[in-house]
Formats: sequence, C-alpha cells, structure tokens
Amino acid sequence: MSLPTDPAHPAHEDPPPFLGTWSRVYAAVGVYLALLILLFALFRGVFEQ
Amino acid sequence: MTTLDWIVLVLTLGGIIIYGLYKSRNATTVENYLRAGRQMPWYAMALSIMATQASAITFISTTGQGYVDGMRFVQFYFGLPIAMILLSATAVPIFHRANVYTAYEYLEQRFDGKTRSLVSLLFLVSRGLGVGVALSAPAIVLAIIFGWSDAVTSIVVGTVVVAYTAIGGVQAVTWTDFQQMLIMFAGIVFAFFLVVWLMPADVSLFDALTLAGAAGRLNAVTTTVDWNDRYNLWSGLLGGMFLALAYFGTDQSQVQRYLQGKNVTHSRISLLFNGVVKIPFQFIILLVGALVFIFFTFEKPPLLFQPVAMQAIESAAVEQRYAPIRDRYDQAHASREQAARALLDAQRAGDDAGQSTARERYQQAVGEVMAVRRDASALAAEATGDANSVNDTNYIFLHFVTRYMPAGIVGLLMAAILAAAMSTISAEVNSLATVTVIDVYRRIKTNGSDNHYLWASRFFTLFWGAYAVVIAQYATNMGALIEVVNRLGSLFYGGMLGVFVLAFYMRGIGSNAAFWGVILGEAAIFCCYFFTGISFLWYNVIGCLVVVGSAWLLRGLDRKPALPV
Repeated sequence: MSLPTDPAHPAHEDPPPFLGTWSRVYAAVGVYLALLILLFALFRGVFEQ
Repeated sequence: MTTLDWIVLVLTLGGIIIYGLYKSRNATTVENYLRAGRQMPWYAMALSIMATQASAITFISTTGQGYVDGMRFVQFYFGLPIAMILLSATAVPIFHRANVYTAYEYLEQRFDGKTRSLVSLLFLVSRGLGVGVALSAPAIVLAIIFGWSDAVTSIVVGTVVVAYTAIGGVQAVTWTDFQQMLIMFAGIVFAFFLVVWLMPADVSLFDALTLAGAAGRLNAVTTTVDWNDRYNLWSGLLGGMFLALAYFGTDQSQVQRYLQGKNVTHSRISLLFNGVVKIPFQFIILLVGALVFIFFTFEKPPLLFQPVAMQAIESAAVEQRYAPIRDRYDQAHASREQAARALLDAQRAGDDAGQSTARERYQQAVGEVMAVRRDASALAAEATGDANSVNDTNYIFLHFVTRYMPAGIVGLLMAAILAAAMSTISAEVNSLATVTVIDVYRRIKTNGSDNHYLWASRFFTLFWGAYAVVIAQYATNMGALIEVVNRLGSLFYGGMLGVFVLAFYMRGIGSNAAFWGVILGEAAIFCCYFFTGISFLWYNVIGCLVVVGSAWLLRGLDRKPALPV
C-alpha cells in the first residue's frame, strides 16, 4: 500500500533550475557554508590580531 | 517619534497589510485559505519562512547581543543550511506526495490516528504558549517607544495581526511576511550605513572594525570545545542542525510555509534560500550591534539603557550607592575613549609596540566599563526587587535608533521591528488554527461542508489570537516567563523530531512502537528537565535519540507490517 498522491501536484523529482541535479545543488550549499565559516574566521583574524 | 516617523510607520505597515489582503482575495475555500491552493512561488515562501523565524525580540536583542557579547551568536545558525539540505531531500517530497495540510496529518497516513493526535497535541501546547510570548515580547519594549501600556500595545498589535490573518488565511500571512521581510532587510541595511555614517569624522569603518576586533566583538567563529559554551562552531553545527531540523521539519508554523509550494522544486528552493541567506542576515544584524558598541565608545551612552532600571538606580532609595558607580562609569568611559584613540593613532603611525600597549589599555578600559555596567544592573535589580526586570540588552538598539537616527528612518526601523513581530505572530496563529481544524475539529465533525470548515478556520484563528492576547497579559508581568516558555518549547521538539525521523527513515517501525517511542522520548526529556542540569539545547538531541531507540526496541508491538514511507 502506498500513500495517497495528489494528481494535480505530482511529487516527481523535477530537476533544479540550476546546476543540473539536486545533489549538485546540495553540494553547492555545503561548500557555501564551509566558505562562509572560513570567511568569518578570516574576518575575525584580520581585526583581532 | 516625529510626525514623519509616524507617517512612514503607518504607511509601511498599512500598505503591507492591504497588499496581503489583496493577494488573498480568493481565499474562499479551505484549500486556498489554508494551503494557498498550492500555487505559492518559491520567493514568497522563502521570505515568509525567514520572516516567521525572525521575531521582534530577536531583531532587537540580536543587535544588543552583538553589543554586549560580540558576534559569536551567529554560529548558532551554522547547522541551518545542513538541516535545509536534509529536509529538502526528504521531508519536502514526502509531504508533497502525501498531499497534506499539516505535518501531523501525514503521521496518520504513515502510522495511525493516535500518533497524529499525540503529536498535534504536543504542537498545540508548545506553540500555544509560544504565541503569547511572541506577542508580549515586543509589547514590553515597544510600550516604551510609543508610551502605551504593555496591555494596550499587545492588544493593538494582536488585533491587527489576527484581523488580516483571519480574513486572508495563509495567503495573507505569506504575502505580508514577504513584504515584512523586505522591510527588515531594508531596515538593517539602513542601520548599518547610518551607524558607520554617525561615527566621528576621523573614525573610518576599518578603524571601527579594528576597535571592535580589539574589544572581542568580532568573534564570529570560536573553535573551543566547551560543552557549557552555548555558541561555538561545534554546538552551532550539531545543536543548531538538530534545532533547525525540529523547527523547520516538524513545527507546523514553518511546515505550512513550504506546503503551499507549486511543486517540490519551489518548496525545496524556498528552504535552501533560507539556508543560504539566514547566516549573512544574522551576521549583519550582529555587526550592527558591534558597530553600535564602537559608536558608544565616542558618544557617551547612559549607564543602563533600560529606562526603568536607570530610574531605579537614580532613585533616592539607592542614591548614595549609585553616586560612586556613576563616578566610576564617567572615568571608565573617558579612559575607554582615550585608549581607543591611542590605539588608532598607533595603528596609523605603524607603531607595532605602541599598538600592542594601546590595545591592552583599551581592552582593560572596555572590561572596566562592562564591570561598572554589571554593578549598575545589580543595583537596579536590588532597587526594583526583581532580578529579571533588568534586561538591558533588549534596549540598546532601541536607544540608539530613537536618539541618533534621522527622522523618517526611525519610523522605518520601528516598522521593521513591528513587522518582525507581526510576521511571527500571524504565522503561528495561522498554523495553530490549521492544526486545530485539520487535526482535531475535522476528525470530530466529519460531515461538514467546505464552507463550514472555512468558517471554522476563521473562528479558530480568532480563538488563538484572543488566547495569545490573554497569555501576553500575563507574560508582560513575568519577565522570566520568556525564558521559561523557551525552555518549555524545547521540551517538545525532541519528541516531535524523533517521530518524524521514524516516519521518514525507518520503514520497519509501526504505529504502536512510534506512539510509545514518543511517550518515552518525552518522559526522558522531562526527566532531564527535572532531575539533571543538562542544558535545554541538548533536549532535542536526547529526545530524538530516545524516541528512535525505544521505538526500535519496541518494534515487535506491531504485528502488521509498517506502511511504506
């Protein structure tokens, strides 16, 4: 038995509007987070020295 | 506030509400009223998600936190993008496929009615308390700005919010949230440029950041491993991720935002947008607080920013003890300004040794000012007879805005603060009404027409709005209640997150195991609350793990095979 679905709003996996696949989008968000943390650490380092 | 400020405030908020009501003019069916006909574009949902999370007190006290404690609070949001990725990959397609109005409706499809009822009840209890505080918190502060009593402020704000929420439903909430979030963005950007502009002519932005760094106010990343330290890189990534998973994945006030999406893609992008924009947004708010701290290095601020606390220490009853504190403060402030200028002069001259000495002097002077402020707070607490009444952090930004910002901008920033309050309250009232109708009322009265449930939704919106106003009256008189309710909220998130982890990821777990898992998870959290000193931030992790572990151990309770995820 599967869960009911709404035919007017199918839940199939549309590709994202950029980067081709959702895995790439998620990876991009992860890389962005890492860069942001690095940037904040640099920001602190520059002005706290 | 000047007449121009009032005009800006009323036109901004009035325009937003009229726009929201115009966009919700087709809210004549339950589908449109509670789910926007599942036609909402991603950008409206994205800003609505952010606006719902940003309350007035967050807006006000986060800048104050930047002033008092620096920028380390930003780390609390480091887990948010990870949570957004996990929810986009799992919860969003599952909720869309299940075609539900509420997150808890899905639990009946996946488990059974009693699990749905239990989790709906947990939500109604925790969010019901939270909405009263969400209404009372800005009232406490705004009463000082407008000169109205706490009660009048919460009644006025509550009535306006409930009116447009009851009329336009989720569409009015989302489109007003959208505009309100834009006002918040504009407000904080204006505040940033104005605080830089208001610095003395010989202090550049680079100088201000140098001083803020030397004063320890730019501590945006701290890598120390300390379980007692609430805000560091590790607690942000782990604790912040669990909290965001619980809040955005199981709390109907957030789930309802992205359930309106045209399709999975729109809902996913709205969540990921929040994950990408939220951290820089919080960073700028905290940076404004840190820069206000530097502004008040060159412009003498009051000893305490909270007017009531300041009046208390200036009163005749403690006058003799106040006088030496005031003298110490005058001296400490002058020393801090002198040390700051000496540090900047040494830096401009390229004098390394002089910089090092001046930096040390400046840090000592900063420490002395903070010590005097602590003594003044203690005296104010003694004078008022209530330690919780002195919460100076929430008043710093308001003091700065109302005393130093130009006419018109004050009105815009007040509109931003009120918009933050309204966006949170409207989403919470809307979600409480939705859960009451869909998860409770419609299961009792099963044969009603669509029009009947539409009017029931409006009625329960009014009911929860009135409830919020009543709770706010008590909350405004009990300063510590805000913290108490925050703790109470965290008592329920762990259990709610646990049952959704079971539903999404553990196909073999059936309804009885899930139900008893939630009960045991909640029991574990309450045991931690009553019998241990564990910080409430860890309750989400503990509760979730106990629900999952106990449900796995009890999986034999279900004879029938579990439904597929």
